[in-house]
Amino acid sequence: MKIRTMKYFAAQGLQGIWRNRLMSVASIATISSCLMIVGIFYCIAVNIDYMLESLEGTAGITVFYTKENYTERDIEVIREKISKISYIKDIRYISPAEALEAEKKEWGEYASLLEGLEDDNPLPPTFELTLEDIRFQKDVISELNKINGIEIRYFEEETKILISFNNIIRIISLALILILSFIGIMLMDNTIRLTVYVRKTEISIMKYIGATDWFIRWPFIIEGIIIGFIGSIIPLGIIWVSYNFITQLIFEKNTLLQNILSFRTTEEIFRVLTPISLIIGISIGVIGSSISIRRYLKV
Amino acid sequence: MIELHNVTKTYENGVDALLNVSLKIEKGEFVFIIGTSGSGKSTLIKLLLKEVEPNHGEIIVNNKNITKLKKSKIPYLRRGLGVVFQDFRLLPNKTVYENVAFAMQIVEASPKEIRRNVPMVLSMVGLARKARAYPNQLSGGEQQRTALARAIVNNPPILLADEPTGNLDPKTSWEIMKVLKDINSRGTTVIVATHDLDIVRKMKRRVIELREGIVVQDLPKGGYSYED
Ligand SMILES: Nc1ncnc2c1ncn2[C@@H]1O[C@H](COP(=O)(O)OP(=O)(O)OP(=O)(O)O)[C@@H](O)[C@H]1O
Ligand SMILES: [Mg+2]
Repeated sequence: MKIRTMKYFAAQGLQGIWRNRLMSVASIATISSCLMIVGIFYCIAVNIDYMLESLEGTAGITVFYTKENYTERDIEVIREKISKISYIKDIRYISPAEALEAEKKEWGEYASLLEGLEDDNPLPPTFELTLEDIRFQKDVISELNKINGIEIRYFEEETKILISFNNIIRIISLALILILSFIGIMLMDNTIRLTVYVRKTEISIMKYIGATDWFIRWPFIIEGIIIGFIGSIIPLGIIWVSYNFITQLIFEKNTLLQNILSFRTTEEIFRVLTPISLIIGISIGVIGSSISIRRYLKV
Repeated sequence: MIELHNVTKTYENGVDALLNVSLKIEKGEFVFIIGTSGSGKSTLIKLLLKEVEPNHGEIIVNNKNITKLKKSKIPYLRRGLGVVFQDFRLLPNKTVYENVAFAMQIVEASPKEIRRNVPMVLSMVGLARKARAYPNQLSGGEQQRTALARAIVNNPPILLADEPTGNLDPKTSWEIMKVLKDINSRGTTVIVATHDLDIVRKMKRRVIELREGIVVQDLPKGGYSYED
C-alpha cells in the first residue's frame, strides 16, 4: 500500500469520526470506562500481589527441632529433608546460640535476665523457610508434617484472606473486562454502522468502479483504531494522576499504614498497564468496525 | 475479447431479462446494443461487470472466464472495464474533478498522473469548465459526460456505455460519439447500449439487437443502415 493511499484512508477515517461525533464520543466513553475499570482492578491486584510478596519474607514458615538430645548430624538430616520439598526458596538455619543472641537484642536493657542460659539453652534449633510463592504454603505444610521431630509455626489465616481477596479481585476484573468489552464492541459496531450507512451509496459506487474490499474497509478500520486509541489514553491519564496522588497521600500522611502497605511505583504499574489498555482499546475499536463493514461489502 | 455462451438471466421476480444469448465481440470492435426499453441491454452490461450473476451459460471477458470468478478478483475485472452507467453513479459529495480523480486513486495512480490525466479527459468530454461543480449542480448531460470521463480516465481495454447519449441534445450527442470513436480508434473495445437509432445508423458499426432478452439481429459493420 502506498503512503498517499494511507493518507487518504486516515483522512476518511477522521472524517467519519467527525461526521458522527455523538456516536464517536459514546464509543470513546464506553471504551474508556471499560479500561478505567481494567486499570483500577489491575492496580489493586498488582499491589495485593506485591504485599503478599513482602509478607512472604515475614510470614514464611518457622520449623523448630523438638528432640531433646541431638547432634549436628541430626540437624543436617532435617535440613536435607526440608530442602527436598518443592516451592521453598530459601532455608535459613538459626542455631540455639544465635537465637539466644537475637533474643538478647530484643530484650535490650533486660537482656541480663537471660544470662546464664548459654550453658543450658532452652531454645530449639530453628529453620526459617521462605517460599517461592505464598500460595504454595498449604502444600509445603503438608510435606513438612511428614517429617518427624519438628514443629511448625506459620500465619495461616492472614495468608488465606489475602489470597482469597486477590482471587476475588481477579475474577471480578476478568468478568468486568469481558462484559465491558462486549458492550464496547456493540457500541463501536453502531458507530461505524452509521458512518457506513451514510456512505452506503458511496461504497457501492466505489465497488462498481473497481475498488477492492480492503480499499473500502481501511478508512473504517482506521476510524476504529483512532476511537480505540483515544478511548485507552483517557483512562490511562486519569489513573496515572490518581495513582500518583493516592500513593503520595498514603506515604506522606499516614506513617501507620505505610508500615503495613507497600505499593508498586507508578512506572512499574504503567509498564504493563499501558500496552494492555492500548491492545484492549484498539481491539474493541477494530473488531466493532469490522463487524459493521462486513454487511455492506456484499455488492 | 468478450464472449457469451448461452447466457440466461432470470431475475428473482421471474423476468427473463436475457434468454440463451450467445455472442462474441473482438478486440477493438465498436458495437451497438439496441432494443426497446426492457429488452435486456443493461442486464447484459451488468453481467459483464458481475453486478448480476447469470443463471446459465458462460461469460468470457478479456480472455478470462468470469462465470466462476472469485469474489476477491471482481475489483480487478471491473478495473479492466470502463463503464458509463445508465444512472451515472457519481459520488454526490465529490466535484467533477474529484469524481474522475477518484477512479485513479482507487488504482493507486500517482498524484502526478492524476493531475495530468484528469484535466485531459475532462476537456475531451467538454467539461473542463465544470471541474469544480458538484453532481447536483450539473445538467443530466453533464453528469453523463462526467461518468464518461471517469470511465475512460484509466485507459481500460474495454469501454461499456449504457445510454451515453440518453439525456443529450443531438449536437452534444455527436460530440460524445466522437469521443467514443476516438477512444475506439486507439484500440479500446467499445460497447454502447442505446435507443438512439439515428446515431446508430450514421455511425455504421456492428449492431446487436435484443428483443425481450433474445438476440434477434447481429448485423456487421454498416449493416444496420441498409436494413432500415
Ligand atoms: N433488479 C431487477 N429485478 C427484477 N427485474 C429486473 C431488474 N432489473 C431489470 N429487470 C427487468 O429485466 C428486464 C430487462 O431490463 P434491462 O434493464 O436490462 O433493460 P434495458 O434494455 O436496459 O432497458 P432500458 O432501455 O429501459 O434501459 C426488464 O423487464 C426489467 O424490468
Ligand atoms: Mg438499460
